[in-house]
Amino acid sequence: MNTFRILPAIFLCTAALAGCASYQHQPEVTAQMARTEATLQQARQGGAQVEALPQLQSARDKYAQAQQSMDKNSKEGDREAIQLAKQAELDAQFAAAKAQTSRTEKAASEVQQGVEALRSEANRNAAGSAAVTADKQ
Amino acid sequence: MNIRNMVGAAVAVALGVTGCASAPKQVDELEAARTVVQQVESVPEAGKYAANEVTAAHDALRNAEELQRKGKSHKEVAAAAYIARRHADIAAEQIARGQAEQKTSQAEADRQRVVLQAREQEAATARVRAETAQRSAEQAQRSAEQETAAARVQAEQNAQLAEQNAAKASANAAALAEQLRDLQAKQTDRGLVLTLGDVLFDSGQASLKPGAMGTLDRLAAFLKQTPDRSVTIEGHTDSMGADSYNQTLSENRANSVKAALVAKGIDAQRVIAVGKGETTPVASNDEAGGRQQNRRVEIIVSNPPSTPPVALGR
Repeated sequence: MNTFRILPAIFLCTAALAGCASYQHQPEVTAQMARTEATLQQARQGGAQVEALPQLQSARDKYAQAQQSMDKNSKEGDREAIQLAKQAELDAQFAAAKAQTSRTEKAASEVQQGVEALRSEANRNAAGSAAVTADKQ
Repeated sequence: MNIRNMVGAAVAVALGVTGCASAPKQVDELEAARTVVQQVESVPEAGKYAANEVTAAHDALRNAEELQRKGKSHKEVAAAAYIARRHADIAAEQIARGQAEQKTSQAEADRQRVVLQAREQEAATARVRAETAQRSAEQAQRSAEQETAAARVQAEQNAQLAEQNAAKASANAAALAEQLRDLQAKQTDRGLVLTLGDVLFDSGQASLKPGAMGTLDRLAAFLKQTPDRSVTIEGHTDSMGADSYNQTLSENRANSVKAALVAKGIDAQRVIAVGKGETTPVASNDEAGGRQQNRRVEIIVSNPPSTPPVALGR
């Protein structure tokens, strides 16, 4: 990133800060944004990227939109942000739940397969033992 | 079909229905949310696995309906319905997860049962093997016992036989003793001496009287039972008459007895006949009684070969 790109950015930020210094966000917005961010974090850590990418992506998009709404520095913007962030939180929760369910189901079917393998093994052994028993008699 | 597939299908149907019946103020998102929430609520395990989310979905749906009733904007109602919808989605996931966990623990229980059954099967097989081995061992023992029993029976029979033989021998010995008593036997250093009085011959005669035969029969029977003993027959007289006459008479008489015994089946090799004349009186010749005692035939049966006097030479 070169100086020519940093300079306008600094300028814009300064202008924004100057412009909105007077606006105080509603506490509900910042609280919701924090919750959503935390939930997104959890979903990522829970493997949602692999198991529930569309839902996770939707959550991210809505979170980004919520941030944009916040940047409007208005009551209307805050209201929109809360709504979007709430949806994003639920999307993230859904993604996390989906990932967890998917893993649990996979584990269940693996255990079931294991049991099936064990059962057929045991049956084979039992048949072998029966044959041995029959031989002995 | 699991809970999530059912939810998807239900939404599709609900949307299709609402699409046809397009009343004013109808919000598709609300209809879809209502369908999904009801779907989730109807799952029996909902309370068990997703109670909080189902309640949240229910409340959010009520909220969305309330907003619609108040005539709020479509966007606002749809946003509220979205919340209800997502809570229901999450509830569906949680139910599915709970069911999967249930399956897992069921499978774990199955696994333990299978392992247990396998062990029991193994134990049963081992038991059968052990029993088979035990049976063969018992069979072997039974055969051994049967053999032992047979051997014991054989031994008992042998013992019985030996006892019978012993009894027979004993009876023989008793019979022998009886006969010997009859013949006035006397055990001496020379052997067993049987003294036959002057009952065998008439005076001056060397031929046996008919009445002597019974005595000689018993003597012959006795000698047959003792085939390993040699027999010496000695003729004796009293002192009446010439010595040479008495000598010849005693020899003739001894020979008569020998001939009679040989005639009754006694081996002539075993029997020696000797005439002693009047040389060895057993009583005084001065009296008739003493002379009668001196007129006699002595039969000396040698001791058995195994008895000490005979065994000295060995």
